[in-house]
Amino acid sequence: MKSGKKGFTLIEMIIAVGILAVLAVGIIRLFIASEVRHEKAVDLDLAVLNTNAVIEEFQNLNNPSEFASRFTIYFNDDWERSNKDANTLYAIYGDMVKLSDDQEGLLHLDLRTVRLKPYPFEKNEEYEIYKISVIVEDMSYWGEDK
Amino acid sequence: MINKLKSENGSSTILIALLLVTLVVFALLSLTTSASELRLAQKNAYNNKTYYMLDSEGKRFLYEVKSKIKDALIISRDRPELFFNNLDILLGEKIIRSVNYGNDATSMTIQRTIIFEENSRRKYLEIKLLISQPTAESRINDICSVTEWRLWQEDFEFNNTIDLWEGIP
Repeated sequence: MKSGKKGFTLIEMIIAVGILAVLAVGIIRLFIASEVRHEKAVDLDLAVLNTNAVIEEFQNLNNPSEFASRFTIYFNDDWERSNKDANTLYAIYGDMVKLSDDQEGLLHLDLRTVRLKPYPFEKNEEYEIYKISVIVEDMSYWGEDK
Repeated sequence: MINKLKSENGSSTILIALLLVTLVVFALLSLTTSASELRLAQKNAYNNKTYYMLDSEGKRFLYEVKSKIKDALIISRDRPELFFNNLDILLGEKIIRSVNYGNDATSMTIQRTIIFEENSRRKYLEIKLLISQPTAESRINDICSVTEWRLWQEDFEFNNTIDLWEGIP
C-alpha cells in the first residue's frame, strides 16, 4: 500500500487463500466422513437383507446337508448377485457344517458379509459389514424314519 | 464522517466468512444425519441377530423333542398304545407338556419359552408343539407339528417427556 493505490499485496492474498484452503480442506473432510458413514449405513442395511435371504434359502431346502460346504456369493455395487469380476464390490462368505453326532439333523451356518474395496480415505481391503451364525434344520433327516 | 468509516474491502470478507460458516453448519448437519442413519442400521442388524439367535435355540429344542419322539417310536414299536407313556418318560421333567385324551385320538401339547435378556429388556420365543398319535405310515415330521412359533418382547413405553428447568438453581 506504499504507492497509495487501493488493493491487497501478494503476501496478503497468499495468506488469505492459504487460510481459506486450510478451512476448505477441513470442511470437505467433514462432508466425506458423512458420506462414508451414510454408505456404511446403507451397506449394513442391505447386507442384513441379503444375508437373511441366504439364510431363508437354506432353511427352505429339503436337504441342506447336501450343500454343507464353504461357499461365496458375489454382489456388484448395486447389491445384485453376480460373478466375480471388476464390478464385484461385496461378498457373502458362507460356511455350513454338520453339528456333532448327537445333533446330526442340525447344521451350523456361518455368514460373513464383506466389502471387497475400501471406503474413501480408508485402508481396510476387506471391511466386514455383518456377521451372523444360525442353526439350519435338515428336514430330510426325519423324513426317512418311522 | 460516515464515508470515512466505510471500508470497500470488508463486504467480500464478510461474504467469505458467512460462506464458511454456512458450509461448516451444513457439514455438521450431514455428519449428524449420517451418524443417526448408521446407528439405526446397527440397531436393525442387532435385532436381526437376536431374532436368529432365538430362532436357532428354538430349532435346537425342536430337534431335541423330535429325537425323543424317534426314541419313543422305537420303544413302542410292538405296543403303539404306549407311545405317549414312553414319550412322557423320555421327555423328563424340564419340558412342560399336557396330554389331551380325546374320543378319537390322544395328543400331546409341548410348550417352551426361550428368553433372551440384555440391558434389562427381554425378548421371548414362544413355541407350542402338537404331538399326534402315530400311525404305521406317519413320519416324525407328521407326528410333531409346530402350532406356535412366536417371537415377542415385553411392552415398553417411549419416554417422550422433556426435562424442563424448574427455576431452582
